[in-house]
Formats: sequence, structure tokens, C-alpha cells
Amino acid sequence: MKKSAIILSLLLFQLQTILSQVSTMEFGSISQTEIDMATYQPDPQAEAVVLFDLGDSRFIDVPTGYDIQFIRTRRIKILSKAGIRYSEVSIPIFHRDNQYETVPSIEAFSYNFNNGKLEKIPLDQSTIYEEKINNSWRVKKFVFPDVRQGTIIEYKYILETPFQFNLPGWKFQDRIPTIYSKYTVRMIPFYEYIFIAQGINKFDSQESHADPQKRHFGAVAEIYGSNLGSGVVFQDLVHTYVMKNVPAFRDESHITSVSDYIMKIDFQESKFYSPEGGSVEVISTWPLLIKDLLKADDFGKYISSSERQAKNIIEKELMLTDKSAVEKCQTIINYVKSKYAWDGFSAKFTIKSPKDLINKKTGNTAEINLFMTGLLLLPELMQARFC
Amino acid sequence: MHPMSISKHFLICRFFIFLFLFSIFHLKTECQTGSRVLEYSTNIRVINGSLEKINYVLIEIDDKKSDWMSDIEIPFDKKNKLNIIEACVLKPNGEIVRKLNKKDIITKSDISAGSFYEDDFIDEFRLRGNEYPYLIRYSYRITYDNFIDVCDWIPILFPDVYTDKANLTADLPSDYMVRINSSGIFDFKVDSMKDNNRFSWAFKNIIPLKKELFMSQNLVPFVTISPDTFKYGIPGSLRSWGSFGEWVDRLNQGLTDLPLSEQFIVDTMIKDLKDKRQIIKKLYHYMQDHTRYISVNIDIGGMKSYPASYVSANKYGDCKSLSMYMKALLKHAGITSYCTLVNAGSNPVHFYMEFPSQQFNHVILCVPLEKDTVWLENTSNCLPFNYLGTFTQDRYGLIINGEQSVLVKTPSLQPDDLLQSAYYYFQLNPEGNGHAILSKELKGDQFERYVTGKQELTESEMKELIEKEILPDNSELIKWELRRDDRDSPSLKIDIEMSVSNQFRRIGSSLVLNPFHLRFDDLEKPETRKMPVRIYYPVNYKDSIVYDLKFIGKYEVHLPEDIDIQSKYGYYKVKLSQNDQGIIIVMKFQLYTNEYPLNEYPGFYGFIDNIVKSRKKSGIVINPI
Repeated sequence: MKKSAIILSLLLFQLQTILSQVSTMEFGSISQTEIDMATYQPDPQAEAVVLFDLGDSRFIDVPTGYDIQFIRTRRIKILSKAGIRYSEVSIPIFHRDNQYETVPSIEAFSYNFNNGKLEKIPLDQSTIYEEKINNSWRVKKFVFPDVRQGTIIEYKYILETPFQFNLPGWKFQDRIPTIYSKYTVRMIPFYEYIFIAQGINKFDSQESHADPQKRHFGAVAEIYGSNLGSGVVFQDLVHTYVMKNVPAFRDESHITSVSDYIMKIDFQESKFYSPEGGSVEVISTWPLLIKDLLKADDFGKYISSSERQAKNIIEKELMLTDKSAVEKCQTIINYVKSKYAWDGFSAKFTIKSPKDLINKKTGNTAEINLFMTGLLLLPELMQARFC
Repeated sequence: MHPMSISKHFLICRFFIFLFLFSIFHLKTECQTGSRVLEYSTNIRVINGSLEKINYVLIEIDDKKSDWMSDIEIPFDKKNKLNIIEACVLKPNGEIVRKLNKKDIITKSDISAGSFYEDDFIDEFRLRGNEYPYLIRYSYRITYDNFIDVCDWIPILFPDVYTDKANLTADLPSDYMVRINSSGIFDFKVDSMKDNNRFSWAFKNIIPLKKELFMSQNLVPFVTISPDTFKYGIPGSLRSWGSFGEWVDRLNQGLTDLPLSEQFIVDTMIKDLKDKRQIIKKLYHYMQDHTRYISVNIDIGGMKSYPASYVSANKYGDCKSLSMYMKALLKHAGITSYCTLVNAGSNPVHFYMEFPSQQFNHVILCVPLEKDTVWLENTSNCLPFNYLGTFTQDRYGLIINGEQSVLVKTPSLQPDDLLQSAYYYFQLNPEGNGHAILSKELKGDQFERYVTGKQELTESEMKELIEKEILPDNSELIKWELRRDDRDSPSLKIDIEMSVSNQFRRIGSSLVLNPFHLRFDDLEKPETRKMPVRIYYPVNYKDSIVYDLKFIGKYEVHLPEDIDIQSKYGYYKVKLSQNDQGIIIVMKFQLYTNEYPLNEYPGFYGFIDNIVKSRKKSGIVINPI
């Protein structure tokens, strides 16, 4: 009696999965080739290899407009014990004010081939943890169960972001080799992005097409093929980028950061086309970027506000009359250096107002440097240079 | 029992440690200036079974290089409430420059190194002043509902910063029984009130402690207050080691739930084995081969293990959970074993046997057999069976066995266990360039690191480690191999082939060879040494070095005299000889396990200094005939 119970439980335990011969890159379908793989021929020292890595970003309809949905499917073969470290996965998520990126789904499985049988071990969802990195970033993290030399690990997660400026980029390269890496981005006509490819001369395949599926924004009333409603009909523009057999990026000394060298593409939002007509440039050219910065509350407007605040200081504290331009500059720079202290934070943008800075006497790099810029602008020292 | 009646114990402890540390923390009467902690006070209150801790800090910052002290980190965990009462920057006259804004506080996870996840957090903020000097002041309150110690307090915030004064007060209900352990020099008083007793400690002028070679641990003054009874998840008692062990046992009750599938595996594995030791070994290897160390501590997870079924499903766990799983495997095989709490680390902290309290940070497994005991470290996939190593050897551990829980000493590593022998073979031309091989047997700490590295590091990471630690000066690695006799061997052999250059120093037409590859770190001079010496496990080296010099026939070799330095601390011996092929050197060095008080330091220093000096004098001079 006892014995039969044990055998029964063993049968349940060893979930049989149908084996395909060739990798279909379909989640859950493991090929015999992948099971048999003991080393990765082009790089026999590799401790693990990414069998495939698929990314897919699209704009999904939400009540407030469009969120971006990013789905990633990744399969890794662990080739040696040193490769077991790749069984720890981290997914960074961002939030600002009341807007949160979310990870509505994580599926992960370990596959072990034991005595001629493929065991599929699911990730226990209660072992997914969330680490807080700071006030803006958190990390969803988990470890695959039952990972050893030879294990195939596979995961698929969905990340949804309300931040259009955060259209996920894609890394085609890792510290271990990658056999196949594909990123698909489905663009909608309302947002335009500039894309930057780093370290990539040519994609193994790059293709764009319009999705035949029609989508709607707003009220669409089609009569005999024309839209009489106030909304618009549009199609997704689908861009696909593929890289194959990407070598491992091995740590090279004297580099700034792996992220600056690895093969990847990044997207930067450049223009927003309103469905109601008209467009807003987000970031496109350097002169436009400068214009934007000068208009921004936490940059250009901060400088002009500093100018106003500084009037008092210049008149009451700094004796600038009768000084040469160089001396005026030196006086102002020394004044800021001695009176204001860096709070240790590096930033492009200001958080506090110049008034705050004057009161607190400490600020981030942007606050102090832009404040000084405001001071220097006042006695018409730098204006000549700007023109 | 009134708490004063148990203060006898407290006085004994205090007196003992007082003497022990007297020479280290001497009182400094003159005023210290510069960046420092002006005041650090902790107030503790126990009310209705919960514990409230208020910390107050006042720091003076005089220069940019001390600004780091204004980066404040306050650790707390999810179970406890943290409330920041005040945080501000002040002028030296006490005028407030600015107060901390709530939105400038960053809360982040505080996951200790080597751990995957913990529900501990840090509130982080920065209190920078704009003009030096400036003061920062902050205070906060943390409330605990679950706690084992009332406090484990040290009168310093930063180990390398001078502290003017540090105070601890503990307000404890009169009927709340505690035991107190403390060290250092302080003013102590007890004020008895109606329902309360206030215990106060005042420390003054605490000098920073600089790290020294072969130093003892536990030299920082401290106050530990342990309650007689406590609640951490479930109620427990610290009256004796037995009662504490009983609590640990109860907290971890019913966790040896090995799934049926795994019971079946155990049955199959051991069905032909008769010998108990063989069964333990077989199951230990199985555990090593199928699990790995991943630490996740949530809620009271610091003391409570995950069940064996969790490890069985995930094939990972931390020290507690892996030990519990191993215990479950053994239990199914009919073998009794006991989880054993220890304080791990190569330089063990001082253990207070007379003071039952939570002094541990690691769990191993003890399997008593008829004639001897097997010890199992369950967090390593590659350490030998029944090997504790430098991490847990030679210290007290608490064997968890209900009310019969007892302290036992773990086995200690002997000089032979740690004999690292190396064989160097150099083939050199008169320019000092050529080829060399090195065969070395790694043991102890080096064995433990390399055997783990062999498994977990990539080729290039391993190469880097070897180049940094094992390769002699002026050599370049050609190839290397790590060998191990079998999986339970407590040593690892490394064979290295390398090209070498500039092995001779030239003085005129003479060649001078300095053949010593064992490196000695610079010891503090006796005038500046502050701490006693502690050799926490034996050091034992033997190097045989052969110089194959084909050109030697045309040269005359002046060998220095053999060296034989013996002392109570250890010995150092060098024998040099020559044949028509070249030169042979055999070097032996040992340091014995022991502790020496500070007044013996000059002797110890002299021994090491003699070795260093003798090596400097012992260059081998090779002159052309």
C-alpha cells in the first residue's frame, strides 16, 4: 500500500513534457538538442548560454491613454556550476509619484533531465521578493528552484509601464553567449522615438511592417470605409531586430561600465503626435533639446529665478564695481564655492528652488552650478559668450 | 526574584572583563578636538512586554573628509516601527541651520552580503552643512514587539571615530528579570523607583580602535542585557543554555517534513549500507550535490528554519534550512542528529559561556556516533564530509536538544591539518629569466576558498585569484591545474607552470638570489601596538625550492648560514644546500594557536622581526669564477 502511494506520487512529481527535436523558442517547449547540449561549441568555456531571449513591447489601451506592455521570454542552459549564478533573476521597476510600473505576471520553470525523464519544476510564486533600492526603484527578484549543472531555466514576465519615456531598450549581449536574441517593438503613430544602437554594426535581421490589425483611438464610426467619428483609426508599426550567436561580453579592465559597451538598443521619446492633431517635440535635435532645457522649471527657469534672487546678493555682499570681467567671475565663483556646499548628490536637474538653496546653503550639483550660472549672467559676464 | 539579587552575576562579569580590557581602553582626560561624536545616547524602556529604544546622536564635523558622518543610515526591520524624532544641521553655537525634510528620507532594503532577501530596511538621509565646522543632531525611536535581547549595545557609532561621551539607560519594570554582561570602563548606577529600576552606564572619551594583525575580537566595550523570559515569535527563556536551546527547538518543531518522493530516494540510496558512518556520508553527499546556499530571511526567519519540504522543493536554503533538511534526511534513515548553533568566522568572537544569550550566527549539524561525533557543514557543496574548517572550528556551539541542549566545543584544526607544502622548481639563465613550476598543497583557509572557487568561479576569475595570491614575484602564468584526490579530501593540489624573469638582483658582476616566497605582513611596532595577540588557528608552511642553474659550473656560490629561530610562538627554519646542478632551499614556518597579553607583544614581535631580518641577510650570492 505504502509503496504504491510512493510510486504514484513520483509519477505526479515527474511531469512529462513532450519533447520537440528543434528549439521552437516557444515557452515551455524544450528540444532534445537543448537537453543534450553539454557545452557551447563556439565558446567551450562558457559557464552558461542564453538559448534565446525574446522581447516584445507594445502600447496597450488603458483608460488614461496608452501604457507600454513589455513581455520578455528567456531560456538559459546552465553548463557548469559557475553558471548557476544565472539562476538569480532581477527585474527593476520604476515609480514616480503615484505612477507605478508593475509586473503582473512572472512564470518560471527549471527543467532537469533525470533518468531519461524531463522534470519541469515551477517557480513557487511565494518566493518572488521585492527589494527596495531607493524611492524610485524596486527590484522583483527570484531564484529558480532545483538548479544544477545541466539545468535549463526559462522565464517569462510581463512588465507594464505608464511612462512613455521608458520604452524598454534591449540588450542583445550578456556576460554569457547568446544564441538568439530578438526584440519586437510595436509602435503607435502618436509617439515617435529615436533609437540608438550601441556596439552593433548590422543586425542579423531587421524588418518593419504595418500590422494589418486596425486599432481605434476615441469614437470611430466607420461608414463605407470612412471614419465619421471624432476618433482615429490606426495600425501598429512593427519593428523587429534580431541578433544571432552573440559572443559573451567578458569583463575587460579599464572600462567605465559594461552597460556602455554591451550590444544594445535604446529608445528615446522624441515627439508626441496628438490624435486630435498637432505635435509636441519631446527630444529630437540638440538645439531643440537646449530650448527645452531652458524652458524647464528645473533647469532654465531655475537659472532665471537664480538671477532674480541673486540681485540682492550681488548688490549687498559682493563688491563688483570697478572689477575687471575676470575678477568679477572669480569673486562670484569663490563666493558660491565658499558659501554653498554640495550635498553629495549628482543631478542634471534641480529639486529645490534657488530660494531654498539660499536658505539651506546646500544643494545638488545642478542646484549649485545653475545658481552660479544665474549669478554669472547678472553682471553680463557670460551673455556675450552665449550670443 | 528582585533584579538586584541577580546583579551579583552582573558584577562578576563586569569585574572580569574590566580587568581584561583595562589596558586597551584607557581614559583620556584632555579634551579631544576635531570631527567626532560629541554624544551618543540610547534610552531603553520595556513596557508591557514591548521594547522601546530611543537613540540620540550629536556629531561635530570639521572638514570635508568627515562629511561622510552626515550620511545617516538607520536600520530597522519590517516587524518594528521606526519613528525619526528629529534631524537637523546646526551651527557650532547650537543655532539650527536647517531641519530634515521628510521627503528627503530614502527607505531602502538592507540585505546583508551573501543573502538573497531579507525584510530589513534602512532609512537613509543626509545632513550636510555648508560651512565648517557644523554639527548634526538626530534622534529616533524604534519599538519592538518581538525581541530576544533587551540590548546588545556598544558605546560607539563608528569604530574609527573618537566619541566624547556615550550613555545607555535602561528603564526596566521592577519585576522584569534580566542579566547583564558588560565590558569597558564606565560609571554605572542603579536608581530604584517605585515600579521601575533605571540602570545607567556612562562612557567617556572612547578612543577609536585601529585594526591590528593577529588581533582578538570583542575588544570594543559593550553592554548586553538579556531578559529572563522573552517573546520572539513564541515565548522563551534565557535562564540557562538548556532553556534557550529548548526555545530554539520548540520554534523549529515539526520542520523535518521530508516529502514522500524524497523518502523513497533515501531508502533506495541506503538500502545496501550497513555502517552508520557510511549512511551519513552518502546522505551528506546527496545533500551537497542537490542543494545550494540561498538565504531568504523574513519575519522571525533569523531564528526559524524553513521546513525540509521547502529545501526539497527548491533545492536551496540557508544554513538553518539546509541543516534542517540534512537532519530530516538522517532522521528518515533512523539516525539522530542535532542542529548546533555557532558563531562562525575565522577569528572567532569571544564567547560568554556564563551568559546564556543569542551569541550565534550560524547553524551546523552534530551527529553523535557511538565512539565519535560527525560534524556537518551544510552550506557548502564541496567541503569534505565531517570537516568544519576555519569557519567553525575550535569554539563553543549550542547543541539543540530540547531542555538537554548543551554547549560543546567543536573540534580544532591541528598543525598537520593546516600544513601547506609547496615545491618550487626554477630553471634560470644568468639573467635570472627562465621557466618554473610550482606544486602546492592547499589546506585550511586557502583550501576552503580555492575548492569553492573551483566550483563557483569562472576560469578567468580563478586565474585572477591565483595570479594575485599564489604566483611568485616576476612571474607569468602559463598554465595551471587544480587537483583533488577525492571529494572528501581536505586538501587541494595546484600545479602551476610559469615563465619567470629578473629573479636575480645584480651587484657589479655578482648575482644575488632571494629565494623566499612566503610573504609577511608588517606587524605594528611594540610602541604602537594596542591589542593582545591571538593566533586563532595554527599557521604551518613548508616550502622546498630548487634552483636549476645550468650555468653554475662557471660560478661560485656563497650560501648564507642555515636559519633556525625557535620561540614559544613558533619556529622558522631554513636549510640551504648546493649541488652541481644548482641550489636547494627548505623552509619551514609555524605559528602555534594561542593568545598572548599585550605585555608579551614585544616577544612575539621580536620573533617575527628576527625572521624578516634573517631573510634580508640571507641573500645567496653567486659570483663568476
